[in-house]
Amino acid sequence: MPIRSRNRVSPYSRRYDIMNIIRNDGPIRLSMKNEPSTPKRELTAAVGKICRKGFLLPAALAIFPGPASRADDVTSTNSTHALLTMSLEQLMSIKVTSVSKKEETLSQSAAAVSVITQDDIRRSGSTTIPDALRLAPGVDVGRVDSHEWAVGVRGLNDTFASSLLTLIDGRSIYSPLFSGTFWQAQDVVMEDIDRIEVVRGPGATLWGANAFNGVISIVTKPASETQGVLVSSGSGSEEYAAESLRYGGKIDENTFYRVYAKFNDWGGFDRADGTPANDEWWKMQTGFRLDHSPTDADQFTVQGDLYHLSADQTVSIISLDSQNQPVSNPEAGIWQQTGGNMLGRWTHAFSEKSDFTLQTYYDGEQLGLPLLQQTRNTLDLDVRQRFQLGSRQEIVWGGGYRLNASDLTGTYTVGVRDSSPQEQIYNVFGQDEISLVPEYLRLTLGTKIEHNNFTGFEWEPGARLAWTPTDKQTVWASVSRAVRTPSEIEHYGLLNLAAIPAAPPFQPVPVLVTVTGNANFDSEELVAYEIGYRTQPLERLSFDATAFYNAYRGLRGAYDYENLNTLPSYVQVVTVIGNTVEGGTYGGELSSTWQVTDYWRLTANYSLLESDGLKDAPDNITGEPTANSVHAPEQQVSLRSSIDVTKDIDFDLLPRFVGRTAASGIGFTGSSTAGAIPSYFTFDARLAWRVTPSVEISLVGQNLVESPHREFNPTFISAQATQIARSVFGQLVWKF
Amino acid sequence: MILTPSIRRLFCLAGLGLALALDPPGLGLAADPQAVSEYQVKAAFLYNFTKFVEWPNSAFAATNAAFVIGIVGNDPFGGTLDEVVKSGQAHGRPLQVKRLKSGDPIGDCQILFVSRSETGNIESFLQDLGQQPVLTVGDAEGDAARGLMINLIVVKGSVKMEINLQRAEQSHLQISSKLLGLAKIVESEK
Repeated sequence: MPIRSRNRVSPYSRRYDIMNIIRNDGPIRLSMKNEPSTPKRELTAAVGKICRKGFLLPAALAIFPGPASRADDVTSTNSTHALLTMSLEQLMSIKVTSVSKKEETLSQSAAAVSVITQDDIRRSGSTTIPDALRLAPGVDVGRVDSHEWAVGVRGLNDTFASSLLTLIDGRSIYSPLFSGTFWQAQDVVMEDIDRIEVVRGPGATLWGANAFNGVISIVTKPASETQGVLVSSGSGSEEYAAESLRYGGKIDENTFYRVYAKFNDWGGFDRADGTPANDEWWKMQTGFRLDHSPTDADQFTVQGDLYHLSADQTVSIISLDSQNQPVSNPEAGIWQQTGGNMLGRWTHAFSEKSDFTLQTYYDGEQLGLPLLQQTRNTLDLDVRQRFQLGSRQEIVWGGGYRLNASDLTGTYTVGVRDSSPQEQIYNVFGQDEISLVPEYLRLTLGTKIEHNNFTGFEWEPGARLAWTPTDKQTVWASVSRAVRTPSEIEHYGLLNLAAIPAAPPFQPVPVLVTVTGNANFDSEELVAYEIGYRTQPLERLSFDATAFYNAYRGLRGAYDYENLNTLPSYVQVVTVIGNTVEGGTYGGELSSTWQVTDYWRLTANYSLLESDGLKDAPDNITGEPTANSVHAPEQQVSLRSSIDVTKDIDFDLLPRFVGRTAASGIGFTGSSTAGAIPSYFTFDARLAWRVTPSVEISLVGQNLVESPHREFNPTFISAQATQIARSVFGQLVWKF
Repeated sequence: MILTPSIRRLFCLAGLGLALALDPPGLGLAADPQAVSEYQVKAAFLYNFTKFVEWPNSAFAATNAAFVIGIVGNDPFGGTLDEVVKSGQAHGRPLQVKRLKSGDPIGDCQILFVSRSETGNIESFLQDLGQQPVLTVGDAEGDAARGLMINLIVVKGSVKMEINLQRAEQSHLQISSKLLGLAKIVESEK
């Protein structure tokens, strides 16, 4: 029996809508085309109607040959015959997996984008979003401890200050508190993810501020594609429980919904010295999605989630003792986070190339850290319209408003000078895609203009040129500007980082090391120059190469020093942050996919990141500019081997080498808690068996070679780096 | 709230228990139905055009000549169109698919499908064809306005037709009112 790939897809058949990445804040269109197993309930519905009319039953059955059918069989004689016997009206009502004009192939996009598909996620055995992000080239994922991740693209990475905009279904999950993403709080049912789009390089022209070094957009499937019951239950040596339950149903032919609940429970990691790091955690989440399309042209979506997580954490608490001397004590506390969101979206299509989208969401979050309490409410409204201007221009334009109201309660260790910062952002943007030479040369020009009450007006223009000499090759280049707006802590925070005990006679009194935010701290600026080349020389082989130069201005650094202390019992060294760091980073990414045989696919990724030093302004103590780390590995290499052992057994191997990170775990001024992360090599493996078409059992081993290793150092509020250990995980996924 | 190990175990057991409790045998029948690809449906449209369009006799070289569907540019159909051809006749003639290379005469077919890769060459095709009775079919947004007689486009996930009636009439093709009723009528640009 010939063994055939269950999901044999070359990256170039991954047709998806570049609009989603470059133009839309989300899953406005269902656009990945490489999931042959995707259920198409609309089609079921259409054929169901036909069947009820009492004819074509055999034909309809021929289209759905039963559970054993495979994507490869779709173009079967039977189904084609069935279509030939349908009337024109019936043909016109059938939903197709479209490869329409507007949905450009990945190979033609003028940006460094990659897409992680549901199939990629499933076959990697990832149970968290950050783990899945390791599959994309140029992304550095460092797990700090059991519940903290630092995820960055092209450097400047940090647990709390990644220079990356992140979204789930068009809703920003970027926290303005620290300018980062609380990855432990951001979750979806892994099986309901349609795809994760990763843009390396700025996406600010359309996405706005903070789409700085990159954009990560997680897109879940429409409710019509998650019908029925899904039970996913797993347990392992580090992740004790990963349970998801989802039910998808249909209200009528045009209205589908799903509801889900999930629970995850993680054990703790160890520190380098073998002692437990006290970082166990658990999380529960529930949510829903409702999709209604009353007409062919209209699509309404309402979705929402609620979650709560609780994580153990030992942090250094700094206080003044009875002699008014600063002391630092590690204390065990709990990180509690509760939140919810609700999003509504209406898309109306005027034609294939003209549509209108209105989206609004509310997001609320309560953060209870041992060192800081925060309540945040976010309200966001976006409109965008797309239309053709003449035969060669496609315009996208729109605007938005966001209100971010925060309520902060600090401690002695992490103080806040404004307890209720409020940010209002207004933006308008426009983009014109011009076919200079139809089918061959496209120029995209656009800008976003944004106003926020922290830094005033921000201007984020970009220009992209794509040349497609053949349909298997694309050469592209771009220049774009992006900004990262200051976080609340950068404006209003005061961090007591360390208390150094007295050491007479040289240091007669203790020293308190403090960093304060700066109300005048301005946006960090980036102008990115990128070029790329994609080619598919053979049907089964594809390459994607990109190179970039990022020129930064006004990155966060030490601006000034002052003494806030009037007590004689200690000396306080206070660093005020400012936009003092300037410099460039450069590098590139290479990615290749080779479908070696029908049942064996290899994917290789390489990324390189160098910097010219990211120099600080001359220090007024030493008079010398100091260099800053890019806080990311210089080189990364990963390989993925996906083998369909039989049609029911998958075997995947994912080795990866992560080069040395010169310094990670930024404090506020670069190096206070920084330390190098040595390079490491490790691999994951997954063996899965589909016992029946609806039941899959899998066994996943993670970090199988080197155990344990460090991936990223914690930021100031965590005490010590933890080791990522070898783990095994078993999972049962059952759909019906 | 910290979970004790026993509560933890309870959650794990609950998850597995749920999975097992819900696991009635033999429910594999609810497998995901497979989607129909865009070009399967478009191939079916082409087949339907043979029925809903009338060609003048002058369109055929001989009384027993085959009914030819030509494709210029990259063939997006895979083998689908060949299956269609095997399964039927058109106007009493056997159906045949021709994949045209550049330089091949394009007037020797009754339906000419212009692939997306050839959108830029439509004007020169139309010049070559003149008023020959060839039903030209497009596959990209705006193709009907560019002068092709019928354009198949995907709108909101379904295949829809645009018809440039003026062009069809110039070439003495009669499109049935049934087809016209289901299509959007467009005019040539300029």
